[in-house]
Amino acid sequence: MRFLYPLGLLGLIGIPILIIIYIIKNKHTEQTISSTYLWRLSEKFLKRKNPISKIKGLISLILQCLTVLLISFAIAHPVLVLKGQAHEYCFILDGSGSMQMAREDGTTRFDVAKDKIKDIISDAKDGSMYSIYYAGDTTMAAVVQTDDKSDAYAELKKLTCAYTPDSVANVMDQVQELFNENAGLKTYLFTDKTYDKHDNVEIVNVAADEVNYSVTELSFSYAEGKISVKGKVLSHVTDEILTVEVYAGETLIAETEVQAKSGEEAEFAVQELTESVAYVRARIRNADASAIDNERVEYNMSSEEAYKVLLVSEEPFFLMKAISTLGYTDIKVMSPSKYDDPNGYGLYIFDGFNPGRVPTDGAVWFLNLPSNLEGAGFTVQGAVELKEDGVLEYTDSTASTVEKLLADVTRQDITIKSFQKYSVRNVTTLLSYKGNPLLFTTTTEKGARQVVFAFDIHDSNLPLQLDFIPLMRNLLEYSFPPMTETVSYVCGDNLSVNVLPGCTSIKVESPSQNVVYLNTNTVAAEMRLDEVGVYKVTMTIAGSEKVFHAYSALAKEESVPIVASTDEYSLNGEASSKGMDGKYDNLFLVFIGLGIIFLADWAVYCYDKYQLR
Amino acid sequence: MAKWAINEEFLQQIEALQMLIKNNVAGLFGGNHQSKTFGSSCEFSDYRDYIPGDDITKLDWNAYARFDKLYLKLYLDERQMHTRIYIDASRSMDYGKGRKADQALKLAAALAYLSVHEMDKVSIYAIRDKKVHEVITGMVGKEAFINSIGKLNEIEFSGDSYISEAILPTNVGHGDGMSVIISDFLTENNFEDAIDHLASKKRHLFCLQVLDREELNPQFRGKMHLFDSEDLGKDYRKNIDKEIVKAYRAALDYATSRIRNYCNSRGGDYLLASSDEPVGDILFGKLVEMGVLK
Repeated sequence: MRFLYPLGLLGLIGIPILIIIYIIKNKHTEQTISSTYLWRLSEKFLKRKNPISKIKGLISLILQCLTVLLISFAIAHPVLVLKGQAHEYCFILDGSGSMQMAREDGTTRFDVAKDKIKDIISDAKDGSMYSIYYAGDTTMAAVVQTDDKSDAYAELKKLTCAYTPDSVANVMDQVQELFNENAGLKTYLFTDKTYDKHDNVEIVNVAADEVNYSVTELSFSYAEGKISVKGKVLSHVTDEILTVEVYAGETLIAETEVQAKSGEEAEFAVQELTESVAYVRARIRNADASAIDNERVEYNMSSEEAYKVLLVSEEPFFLMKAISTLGYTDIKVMSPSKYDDPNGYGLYIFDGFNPGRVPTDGAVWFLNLPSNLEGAGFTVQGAVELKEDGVLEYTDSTASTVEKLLADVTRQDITIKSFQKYSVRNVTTLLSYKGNPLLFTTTTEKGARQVVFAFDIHDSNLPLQLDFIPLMRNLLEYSFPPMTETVSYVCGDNLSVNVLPGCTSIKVESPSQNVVYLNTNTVAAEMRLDEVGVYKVTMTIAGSEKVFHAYSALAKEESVPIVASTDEYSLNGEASSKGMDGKYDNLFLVFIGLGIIFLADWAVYCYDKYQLR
Repeated sequence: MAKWAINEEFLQQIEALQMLIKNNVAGLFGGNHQSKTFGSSCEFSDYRDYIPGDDITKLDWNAYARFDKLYLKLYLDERQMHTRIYIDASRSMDYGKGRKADQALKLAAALAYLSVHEMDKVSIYAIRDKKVHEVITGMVGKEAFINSIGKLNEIEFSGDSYISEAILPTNVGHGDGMSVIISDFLTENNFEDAIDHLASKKRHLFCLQVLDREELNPQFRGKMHLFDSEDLGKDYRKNIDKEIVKAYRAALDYATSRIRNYCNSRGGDYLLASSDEPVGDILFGKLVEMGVLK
């Protein structure tokens, strides 16, 4: 036994002091009374046969000394050392999505795992050390080598289950280091998967006989006023007839029953008359262990990427046909004389017209801009008339941007009769004439994407060439870069958002309403999706907002109730059964308790002895 | 020395009481107490046949009319009694806070007054060592009471008391009244012989035990060394705790019961009084309740 605060033993000085006081005060008070007859007679009525009665006179002193002794010991905080009875524990907690599966009583596998860890810590001898590693959407050491049980409990309580696949492999290196330090390390992996090989790691499987269903695939198309929805569902454990509800937007359009065999995907398909919608949703109505994978949402990518185009031209025919042919239906054509500096468009096309001010939102095309325009990023030096038709030269750059802009272009000859000479900087030239860039891409001074034709397309053969359509498509795609390449993700993937020119903020709202702002000082901002559900992304460009939605689905493997994993989680080395020194430091409570009991006993004894009741 | 504390107002209160004697007395002189012999009181007792020479005023003419025979009505006689009061004058009666002597003197004076009020004769004695000292003898009438009762103040409380050895040699009378012994009876000396002797003399016996409040309910606790006021050699040295106090109470019960039982078995009365108990409460309360006074 050792003492945490040995100075507390100074209280033992009180014992000799008490004995001295007892000796000093141990005198009989002398008094003469009228008669001692009755006192002497009382001797005959006194029953004192117990030999203990001989020390009765010392009981008070003994109780006082014991009280001082015990309280001094309690203050010194005695700790009992238990040789080799403690251990170092390491708990790896699988926080993958499948651990969210609930039992009949509502507790999830993750809750069960936490309770089991708590039980082990609770049963462990004081002096043991605990490390808890969380392996969910992130790898995290909740506590490392702490001997404070309450600290371990508190950190354990904070852990929540993720939706992503587990990351147990990432923590094994850290656990191996602990094992190298102490071969007696007891390592537990709390998971719902089974592993064939797990040397020096005890697997605690928290899976039960849960039943689970999931929507594994969903897609839809819209044609001729009808929406066609296709998908697949999966019953993981039992053969079931699953009832699938299909929603177009928020409207329930169909219910279908699907015969699903255990472990095999079953298809379903629905076709209904309805208006075009931005998204569809399929939901399995049958109750199971994990509701999170019973629903899936699919967004229409083109719907999410819809843009408005403003075409300002006296002769809009070629351009309008080309743009509408390419699927951009929201086009507004305006005569230059009626142009009143509007905004709210994704693309502004000025054909032979100087708008006087560069639009503040959206991309801009200038075709044959006749005069200087402040903020355009280039200056007009003047028109050049050719004596005979000139043939434009395609750039021979192999830059990826150029290749993308000239994709599918067969490089047919394009002839012109005149052109505008512009002074440019930092442009990507696609076509030129004798060193003069006549078709190039650049950005406005405010950063918006810009396409410049330095010649009049109506006075060239370009609109009549086959290359016109692919070139226009490439330029439109350049002008309308997609905010994201896809709107369907699996939880744990990175959401990638293209930072469009002029973008000032990108706000991402998670299914649990958490809001995150992404970095806009990059080409593509990324964010890890760690929730299942619909993410709403709002991009602010020059004051206007562009919104799209992305759905993050639970990974397929996380829907499977019991997985026999082929992963190997073993610790290299020879395990030892040698324990650490444990301790029992609640002795001071015992001493305080006993001290109080003796103190109370002394008080009761004195009252009982010297007071009549 | 104790001071006589009975004032005139108190004496007026006790005049309302009358000593009740259980046994009829056989005194020589007329008094207020009924005698065993027939006499001239107003209280009818019996009939007997008329004998010539009897007082014809006592003939029952109604009986004559019914039985045609002369019967004489007989009445009880009334005699004077002699009350003898013995006061324990040992040192133990006059020690400590309680001063049992004060209470003993007050009670003696009160009982004496009641007796003279009944036209009885009163004698008061002090018992010290093995002798009976006469303090007041043959006191009759209130004037004598007023003149003599002050002598009680002259009683000296000292030494030991041997009640039996003191009373037995003296003239205690025969069948002519009450004998009162006022003492704390805290002694190993014999007092039973005195009780037997008085009972054999057909005296009505009344033992009045006076104890201090501390003796009735001791407050001593802890380590005590107690000395006897009459004999310092009789000491008691103990750590007084609950058990000892309990034993003390048992001893007290034993001692008082022994006196009471002995006294009652001889036809006498016994009363335990506290030294701080008001005399009025003892007279009007306990003695009336016991039937000694009415």
